[in-house]
Amino acid sequence: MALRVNLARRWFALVLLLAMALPGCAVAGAGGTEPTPAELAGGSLASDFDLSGAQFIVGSKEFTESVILGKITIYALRAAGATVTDQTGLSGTNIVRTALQSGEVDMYWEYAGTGWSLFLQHTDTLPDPQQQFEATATEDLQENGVRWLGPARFGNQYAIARRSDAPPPLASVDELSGLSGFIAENPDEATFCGAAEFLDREFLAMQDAYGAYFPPAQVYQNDFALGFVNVAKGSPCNFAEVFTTDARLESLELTVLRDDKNFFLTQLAALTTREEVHQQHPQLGALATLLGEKLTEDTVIELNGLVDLEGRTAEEVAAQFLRENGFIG
Amino acid sequence: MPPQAPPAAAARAARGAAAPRSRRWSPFLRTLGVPAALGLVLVALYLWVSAQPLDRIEQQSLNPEYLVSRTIKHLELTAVVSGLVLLIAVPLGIALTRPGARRFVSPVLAIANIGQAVPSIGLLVLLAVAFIALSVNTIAVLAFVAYGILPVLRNTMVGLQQVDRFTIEAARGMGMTRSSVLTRIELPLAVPVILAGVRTALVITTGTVALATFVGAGGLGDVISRGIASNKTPVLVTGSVLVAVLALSIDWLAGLAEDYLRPRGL
Repeated sequence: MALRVNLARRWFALVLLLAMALPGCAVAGAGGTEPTPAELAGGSLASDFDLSGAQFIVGSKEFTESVILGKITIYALRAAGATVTDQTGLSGTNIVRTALQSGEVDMYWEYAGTGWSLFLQHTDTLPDPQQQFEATATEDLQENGVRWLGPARFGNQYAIARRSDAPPPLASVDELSGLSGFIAENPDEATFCGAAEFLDREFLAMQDAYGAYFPPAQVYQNDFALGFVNVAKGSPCNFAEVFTTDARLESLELTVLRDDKNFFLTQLAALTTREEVHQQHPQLGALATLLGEKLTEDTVIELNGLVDLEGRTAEEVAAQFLRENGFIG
Repeated sequence: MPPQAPPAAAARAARGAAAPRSRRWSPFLRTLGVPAALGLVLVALYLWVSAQPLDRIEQQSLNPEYLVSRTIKHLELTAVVSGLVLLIAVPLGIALTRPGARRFVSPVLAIANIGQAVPSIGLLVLLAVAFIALSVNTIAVLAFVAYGILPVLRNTMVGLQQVDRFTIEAARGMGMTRSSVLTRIELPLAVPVILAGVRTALVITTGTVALATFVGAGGLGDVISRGIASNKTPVLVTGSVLVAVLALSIDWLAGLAEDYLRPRGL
């Protein structure tokens, strides 16, 4: 009798475990709809590039935009004949950058501003996106042997957002230069959410540029993705740091404050790789430039939205981008 | 039906707490050695950070005002969470060991187990996304209370269950009421084991409160996550060492309280 009870319990536990494991498998399995070999061979990349025999490991950071860019690169390289290992979705800039430098990953898309301040440890900012990109690319190559290919036409840019359906005093803030007046009149409402990276790198300079100072006790540090949620519900903050290419701005009904003094710099995206990889396969430069020219801001926002808002997979969206531009058949 | 055996882990905890204290350390060393060592760690940290050339980004985190504000927030969250854990888990543990409450034991322990098994960070983010009306502080407190209840609840139950049945029967035989048996016999005899659970919960809470930074509830996690995000080792080390020193200090204080509150003769 006791044995039977025991067995029944074990079965129950096993079923429970399976029930917990299955959704995970389903998510992993749904990642499909990669382009078929025939599609890969049928576009312009297959005829214009020859990387047959080459082997690459492509990485990315964990957020949607980075993963999509990684998948696009993977399929493009496969179309050119290379064998590619997928290492997209690594958690965080530092991890993927370390993987790049140690050779665990051969290439990933990075933003020039991140390279300038995080990898090269500069604390000043440069006035022009192209200038920032070139300075970063030159210095990173000399100091760390990392080559920046591209850049893409789009850049990612910090911005400050508030919820769109805010009540009157807050609803009248539409541009960043309106912040100082708002803070002076409603000090209790002057609450701000930002991720660690933004608060470290941009926040002080932004406050100086606009003469708008949030009381330090009302500045909340949170995970980047949760900043959207926090500002959408107006608790704990009325203002938050966002990226301009993020599709959640629309889905969570957030209003981006106009950067009327052009404080935030566009950080151009580029494919970073070790110089030795670039030397062995000089075609990578032309490939990154070709892809980058089609990656405009509107395109990237649309691709992000297809994943974040419509629930498509990064694989589907990446393949669609390549197909629409004739890169694959 | 034989009396239900306490869970193995709880039994281990009970044995560990009830075992005679190690005599390798004199009371003097145990009382003053720990704070002295922690003080030395803080001094070493201060000297090391002072010797580093700090850039603008590091200075934003490594200044007394910022560090003190995060430490205070960390302590506030820890205090509220620990207080709620005690208020919920100790009475619940007492109630569950009363005769007649036995059928509630399994479901309640199962819920407490889930509270600890679910990753705190998952619960934290889930609450933040699912409950729009809750403030970040409430969210953080809820998630960490759910995490901290199990050790206190289990130790309270085990502490009460290990009280000798014959002692209780003797007390009843002397004419004591059930409630005076509880307050004058069972609880004093269970105090060492209950306190061991409280101590565990305090240390766990101090450590997990560092996760509050993800939802924007502050604390020393802010310092750690800035160190990680901007790749600044001095910031990362400072945040981590402060959390560790805080947890060990609280453990030391709880140890003193344990010695002080332990009934004489045990």
